[in-house]
Amino acid sequence: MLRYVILRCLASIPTMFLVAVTVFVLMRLVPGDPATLMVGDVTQVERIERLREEMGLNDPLLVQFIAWMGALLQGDFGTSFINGAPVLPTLLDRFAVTAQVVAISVLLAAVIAVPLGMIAAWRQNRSVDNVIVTTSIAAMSVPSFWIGLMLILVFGIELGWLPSVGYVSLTDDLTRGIMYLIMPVAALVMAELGTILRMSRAATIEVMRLDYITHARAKGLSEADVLRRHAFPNAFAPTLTIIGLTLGALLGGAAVIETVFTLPGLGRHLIDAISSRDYPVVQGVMLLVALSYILVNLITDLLYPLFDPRVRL
Amino acid sequence: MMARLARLRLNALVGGTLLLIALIAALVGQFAPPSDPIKPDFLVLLQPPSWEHPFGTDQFGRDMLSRVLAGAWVSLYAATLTVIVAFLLGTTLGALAGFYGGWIDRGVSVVTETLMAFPGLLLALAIMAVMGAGLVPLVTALGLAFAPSFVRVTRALVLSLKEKEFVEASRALGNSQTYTLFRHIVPNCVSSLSVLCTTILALALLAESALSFLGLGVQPPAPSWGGMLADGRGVMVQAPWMVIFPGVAIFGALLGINLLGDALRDWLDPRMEGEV
Repeated sequence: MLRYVILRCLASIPTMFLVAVTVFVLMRLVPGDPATLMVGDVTQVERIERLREEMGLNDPLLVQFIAWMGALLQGDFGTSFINGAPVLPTLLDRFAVTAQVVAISVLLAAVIAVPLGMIAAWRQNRSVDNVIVTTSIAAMSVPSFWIGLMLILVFGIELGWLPSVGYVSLTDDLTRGIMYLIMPVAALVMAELGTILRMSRAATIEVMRLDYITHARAKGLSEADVLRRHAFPNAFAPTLTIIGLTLGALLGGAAVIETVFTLPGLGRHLIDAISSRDYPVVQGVMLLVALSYILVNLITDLLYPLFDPRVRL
Repeated sequence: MMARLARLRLNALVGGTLLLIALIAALVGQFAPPSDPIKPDFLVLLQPPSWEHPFGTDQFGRDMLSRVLAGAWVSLYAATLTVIVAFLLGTTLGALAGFYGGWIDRGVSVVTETLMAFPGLLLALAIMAVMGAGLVPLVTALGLAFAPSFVRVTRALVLSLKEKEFVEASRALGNSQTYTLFRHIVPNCVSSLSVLCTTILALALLAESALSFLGLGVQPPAPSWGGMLADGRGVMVQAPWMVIFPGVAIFGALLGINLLGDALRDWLDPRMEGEV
């Protein structure tokens, strides 16, 4: 087990390195010169040249890369072009907001979708299954940001039950924080429900055909016990991977929902940075999201043997 | 069993109908819209739905029906182009990697794994940050983001197909490697890849509308469904129709693609057939 953990952790290091290389290369492909962008005035040739020298832009690319990696490893993500502030502290604040919304949403979606998928698989090709599958296809077809807008229209504007836009941290004021989170979370849950449900259904269908399930039934266990104690642990392993992927993808992909509800999250920060050509921030968000994506996948993989002992080999 | 067949038929029928409606809408919107989807008309700003403007008008007095129809063309066009780019790039690389193995396979694997280390939308956003907003960057970014799925599936398919007798037969006939690969192996991957195509088409349409909603995709005044939702967001208290109709359009098109894809997957995948 320890061997598996160590090997899996080591295996993610080259991926992280490749991600860093990709981000570095992408940022060098940006049209225009960073120093000129920072000075913001093409006529100040001398100032630009001085800045280029300071930023190490005149060094060979490899030297630049090594210096850049060295700074990253020390937690130096550079400074914003727009306000000159260090990039990292803001990123972490924004990340906390996104992580909160995304984690709650994915957890809720999984709690709803996994049992539903198992029920659908248990009743495969019967009417219950058809209703669940068709509903999940419909849910997958609604864009999360449109659900968000419709929720605002109905519950925020027409009925006035919930605050339409804005954000209050859960740690500052729990009740108000929850009020602000209900609609964004609802929109994300609906959007992500379908994928998890389908995976849970497919995995359970595979498992239900195996001999040990027939054996469990032959022992006279109730169907509920067969599903819960025998089918669930094995069917949950592949579903867990999908849940992890969804969680990771949303950390970077929640930008749209954050825009709809004006949440001060990481995605919104990225969109603003792209619009204002604030490349150090773009680069910081990309690195942070990609690293957390890798980390979430790593954790999923480490949890995997808990459900599927075969992996331990 | 009966219920499954009935669902398959119904899914294929409803999905096909929805997609057909979207295609007709796109053609009408592109070639014969009821009125100009781009030219402002300041006499009819933000009008609610009426006989003259069934979907109402927007803050520039443009007929929303015409814009939703024209948006169908823009959105479907962008999504289809994305699938084509991802398909061509992904299947070519995947086929080469699976067939030749060795350093080609390792190289392709490193590139795919790196691309897959980024969540899809983030990669697209990063590429658009470099290339700027617009249709070409959008299609390039999404095409690159979706290509790894095609690489993986094609590579796995080719790996299993290249040991089959008909491939040996083609070699025995003295055909070149490349000829064998593209004439005999790749065509046998098509049916499995078609399911992936429908999945990616739906994801591409969703991503296109999301990026246009964020202002990074198709640029105004060109109509795209996502862009229309962004336009409507600011005035949805006075003009809810501006955020209702484009959203219904995205939902309808996505539902059509997903239902068809589901029917196709069930039809092509024998494992899902048969007894309970």
